[in-house]
Amino acid sequence: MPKTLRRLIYCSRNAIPGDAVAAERTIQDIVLASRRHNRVAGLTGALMFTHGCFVQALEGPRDALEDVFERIQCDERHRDVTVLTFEPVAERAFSGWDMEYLGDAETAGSQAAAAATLNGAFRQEARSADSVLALMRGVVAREKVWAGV
Amino acid sequence: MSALLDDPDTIASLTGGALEQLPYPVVILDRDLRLRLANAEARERLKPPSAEEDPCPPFASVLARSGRIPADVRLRILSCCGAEVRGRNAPGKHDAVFAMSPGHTIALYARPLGHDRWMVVLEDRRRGADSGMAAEENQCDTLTGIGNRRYFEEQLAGALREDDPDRQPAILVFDLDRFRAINDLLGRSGGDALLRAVVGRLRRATRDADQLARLEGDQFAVLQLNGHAADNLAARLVDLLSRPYLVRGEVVTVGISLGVARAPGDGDSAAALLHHADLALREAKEAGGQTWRRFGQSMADRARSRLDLESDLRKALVLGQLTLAYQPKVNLRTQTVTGFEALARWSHPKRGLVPPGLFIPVAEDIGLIAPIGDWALRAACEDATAWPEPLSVAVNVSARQLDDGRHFLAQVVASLRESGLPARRLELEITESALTRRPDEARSLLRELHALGVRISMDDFGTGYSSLSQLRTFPFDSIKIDRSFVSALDGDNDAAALVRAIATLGAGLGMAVIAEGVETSGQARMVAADGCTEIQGYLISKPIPAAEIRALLARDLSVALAS
Ligand SMILES: Cc1cc2nc3c(=O)[nH]c(=O)nc-3n(C[C@H](O)[C@H](O)[C@H](O)COP(=O)(O)O)c2cc1C
Repeated sequence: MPKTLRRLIYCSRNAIPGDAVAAERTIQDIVLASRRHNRVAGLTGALMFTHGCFVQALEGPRDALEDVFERIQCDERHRDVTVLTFEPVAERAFSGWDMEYLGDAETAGSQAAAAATLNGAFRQEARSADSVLALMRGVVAREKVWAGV
Repeated sequence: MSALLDDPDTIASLTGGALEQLPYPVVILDRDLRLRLANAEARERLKPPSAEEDPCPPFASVLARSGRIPADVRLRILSCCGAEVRGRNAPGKHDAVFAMSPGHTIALYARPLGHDRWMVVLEDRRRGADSGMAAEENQCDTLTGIGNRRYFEEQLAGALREDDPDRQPAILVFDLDRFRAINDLLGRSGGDALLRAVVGRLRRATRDADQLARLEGDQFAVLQLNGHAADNLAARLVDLLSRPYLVRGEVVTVGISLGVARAPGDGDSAAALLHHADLALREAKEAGGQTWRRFGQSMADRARSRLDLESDLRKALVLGQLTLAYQPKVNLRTQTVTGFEALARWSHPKRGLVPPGLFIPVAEDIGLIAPIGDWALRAACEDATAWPEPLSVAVNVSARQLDDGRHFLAQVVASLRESGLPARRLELEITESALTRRPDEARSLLRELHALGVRISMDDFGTGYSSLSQLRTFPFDSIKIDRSFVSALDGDNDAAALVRAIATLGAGLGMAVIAEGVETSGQARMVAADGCTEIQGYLISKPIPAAEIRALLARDLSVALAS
């Protein structure tokens, strides 16, 4: 286990110009770029897009997280970035995923839960980091079942 | 060449001799941006791990560990290499030049070698030869690698000399809101890390042609040679740079305030533009921060009139425009005057009578409050010697005067000696807030003054946050209850309860309790019932000139109190 393993979770609001199709296409680009960079930097995580908002979990060495976060913060395709947690963790929750994407299709079964979780998250309610993480892991787990992994 | 190779690593053996000799860093990367080969210069500069440690380390971590290249440039280098490796465009389309510091750039060339290998050249370019280096050293901000104030002023002056009507340079000056507090929280090196992160974002948000500088501390500036879109950039910077940062494992939220000034309308010299951008920045700060303002003439007018006020105030003391007015305090039981509070008045030939609420804060800002305080102390002691025993005079003491405790103590001693006023007839009024800054120093100073026989009174009690237990540790002889509680007495039960609590506390500690701002006999009766021992306010008298004191003392006060 690397000694400075940390997890960062934030949520933000979509600011991609254009319609839903344009957004979907741009998000695909973001995910591809993320996978490429994250693999090199030793980062894993998941990106959820639901109700016009992003939720992203990223885990890895602290310095790599701080570097990539700077890049993400300068990205004008989203705004109102709200950091929910940036804490040392014992192990990765998304090991094996350079950047797993959880879009509308994937979160279909959890729309209501996602909306409630997001609401709490932007208000930075206590324990919202935990609810967000649980939500994302739940969706990933269901994914794995369907994919027969 | 590559057609002849079947083992990619033979490239190294074939080209190695030549690469090794090149005077700039050259590396060979694979598709995953792992480092496969580094020439002598690259090994020297980047210090990659040895082949035993890690035969093909990620280029990202090699750059990061070298510690020589700021994070934002690092990421842009990786991004160019990545784009070249993906081969979206013709080879060489992703070459780029990165500004490191004034006069220092890194040029990047990335080329495919075939067989899943790419060559990347990083060429250092420094302006001029030795003289250029020397100039760079005193024009560069060593913390962040961007320019310093001197560099910025030179660039700006140069831009203004170019007499091109289509090119109207603009400058944006900004600083961080609450940086001092954040610095305290993160520690000095954490604060420095934040400043570097700010510069990283600044670099990303601006174009290479924009000149960047750190003017001082947490204040930065951007020069746009063609400033027609400066307002857009201002809004973008406030947005991007005010987003939270991750620094040393902490989430740091800090806003920026920014001012814009554009030539020639907002000033045609470097000094004028910088000054005006600074005024605009201050307006942005006064609006609450995390916003920007474009310079406007009204700002200059306001600054001008404030400067005029400051310069008039500086002269007021020497020109004898300051006088003291005295407001009596009356003992409720004996219905006699116990003393007077000295209040500064400024009457200016053109401005007329300037209210203390207007000039005292200005005096505090420009460091004039201590000399004014010294003067008031002397003049009040002087005046009070003419009053019958045992009438006392109370003088207000500002926080600034307490900062230099030795000087203040000497002033008190000298004023008493020169006037001949007995120490027990002098009272010093100290506000709660003046004590909270450095309570330990203030406490020992007040104890020394008290030992001289001078009386100490807590002014405006109830407006600060001093705890009651803390009150006990200071040598107070009296407490003055702030006028806001007294004026709230009519009909406000909470105010009455508070006044009663303070009066009980004061009595318990053996202090006199004075209600300020008493305007009606009703209020006088209420504060008397609540346990206050003295009152001060318009009910008895407004502040009067020293010459009218005798007449006031001859008045029968029971009439006012009974009405
Ligand atoms: C919601 C969101 C999440 C992102 N997550 C990542 C990420 O995890 N890793 C990453 O490298 N870039 C991420 N990006 C993209 C970066 O902001 C930036 O555009 C990208 O790293 C640049 O890559 P490129 O220069 O190779 O195109 C994200 C962007 C957005 C809007």
